Amino acid sequence: MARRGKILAIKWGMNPNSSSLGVDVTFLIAGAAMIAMATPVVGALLRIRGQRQVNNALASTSRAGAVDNTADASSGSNDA
Amino acid sequence: MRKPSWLQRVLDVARDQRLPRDAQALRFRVEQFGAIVQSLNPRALVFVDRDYARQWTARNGLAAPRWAEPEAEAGTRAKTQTRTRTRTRTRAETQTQTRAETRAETGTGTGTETETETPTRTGSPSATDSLTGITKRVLQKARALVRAVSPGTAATLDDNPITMAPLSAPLEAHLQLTNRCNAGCKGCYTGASPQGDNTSENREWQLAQWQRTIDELAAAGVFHVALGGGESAVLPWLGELADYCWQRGIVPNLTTSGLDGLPALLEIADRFGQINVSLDGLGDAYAAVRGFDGFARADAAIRALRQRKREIGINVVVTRSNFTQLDAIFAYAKKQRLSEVELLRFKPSGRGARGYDEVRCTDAQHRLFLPIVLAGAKRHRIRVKVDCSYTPMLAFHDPGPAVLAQLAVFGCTGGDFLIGAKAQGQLTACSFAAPPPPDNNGARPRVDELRSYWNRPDAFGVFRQWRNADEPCRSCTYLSVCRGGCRVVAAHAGTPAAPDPECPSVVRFRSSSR
Repeated sequence: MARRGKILAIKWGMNPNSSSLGVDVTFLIAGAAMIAMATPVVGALLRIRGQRQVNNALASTSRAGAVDNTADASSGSNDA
Repeated sequence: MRKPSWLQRVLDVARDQRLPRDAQALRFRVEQFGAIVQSLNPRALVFVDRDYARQWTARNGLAAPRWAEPEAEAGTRAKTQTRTRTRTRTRAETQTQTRAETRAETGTGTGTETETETPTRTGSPSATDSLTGITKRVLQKARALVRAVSPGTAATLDDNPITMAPLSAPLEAHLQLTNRCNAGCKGCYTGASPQGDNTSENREWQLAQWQRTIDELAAAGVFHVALGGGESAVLPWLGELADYCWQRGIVPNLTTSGLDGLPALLEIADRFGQINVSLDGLGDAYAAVRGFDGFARADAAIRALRQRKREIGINVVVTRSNFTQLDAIFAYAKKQRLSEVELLRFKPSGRGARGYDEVRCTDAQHRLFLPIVLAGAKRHRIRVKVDCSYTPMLAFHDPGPAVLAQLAVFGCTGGDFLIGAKAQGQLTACSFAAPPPPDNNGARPRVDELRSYWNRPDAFGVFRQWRNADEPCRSCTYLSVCRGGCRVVAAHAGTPAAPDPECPSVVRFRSSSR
């Protein structure tokens, strides 16, 4: 049976600052309880969105010039 | 503007209603430890292990990702690093006994290590004690809960696979589209001027060159770009570049001073994931930091942008003079219904190198940074982000490496999680760093050739050599999170590879060694 897998980290938000990597420290206020609660929620969203994303990708495979790393992963070309 | 109801917000998230037409809701990138999945709504980069990546791809009908390094080997490498680090930590315990080490080893966090230096600029001793006490309690609870809900999460980060090797590509690229700016801020980290970096020999890059760069970044797997300057809002092709980013699967974000180019920016504001306006103080404090009175114009820009877009925040460069105003700035952000406040440490770069020691925060302020930020964020219910160079100041309060790692709080990630690019296309480890030295042909690496430079063994020099840190970083529990602090500050002090001289733990170590 396959191991379940873990979410190792979540970097929240987007960083508009053109000088350094911005990370959200507000979660420290609620502590790990919030992190623990947020992780399965994000996991569920990834599952739902993942299926939708694949459907969209299949529907738009002919779109010229689009870069889709999901497609890269499916072809196995994105080795680390 | 009418505030959306909570129900509308939930529905927005569920339906991805607020994404631009070209946006891909999810992107996926294979990494040595597993993969990184980008979600645009909610906005997050999610680091997952290999098992999760396999299941995620299988569930979505995709071929299983492949990794160049076998899993067993990766695990062995991590364990070897753990043993090495444990040994050095044990040896150093008798030398330094920093608070972080003591707490990590005992697991108690009882706060028995009291500070002898009493901060003087940030309030009365009783207020300071109160802040520190709140922070201690919050962090103790955080650590206990992490242990309870994630028993596999170690007290140290040595076995965290994210830190084993540089990523396959940066998460984000900071592109200085121009170094033209009329503001003339006295601490400008790029030394921007009205003429920019245009010389008789070299010109700043234009749209076609930046589009070629976006192609390169997309091919590498970069998720975000942070566009800045100079003042990028005056560029007539800024909106076109933002569109191009979306088309190539990259989220464009923007920093602006709000002092120039506002009408054009308002027209294209929707094309950015997030826009932050630089605001280094309220009222007179703005002038004290920047050298001119631009608060009213920046304030007007923030209000106008907020009318057009929800994801508007402010960047605050924290200095000795505006440190006491942080709470007021949080209140301002809350009043303007901004999405975030991003706090940036003042850096000795560009014009900021002149008089740096008089402008930067004091050691006492650095020690109080996290308590004040957490208290202010809690009081005003505002989201606060901090830049990577503040990680030593967070680690000083011992929140636990696992907690920081779960929030993807890492110290100097230049040349790894992020890269920078100058207005003429030179690649840098971060926006504050000088370009790498030229090769044998006299050429410096360019951002549109990122992939050919990224995997060189000597790429980005000291930025990737944090594992060889000197004491006290070498034996610090937080090394793999903090990575020795800011390389730019260390370089300004004389040795780029040395520990960040402003880290409170380093300050204490050096004062006790004398």
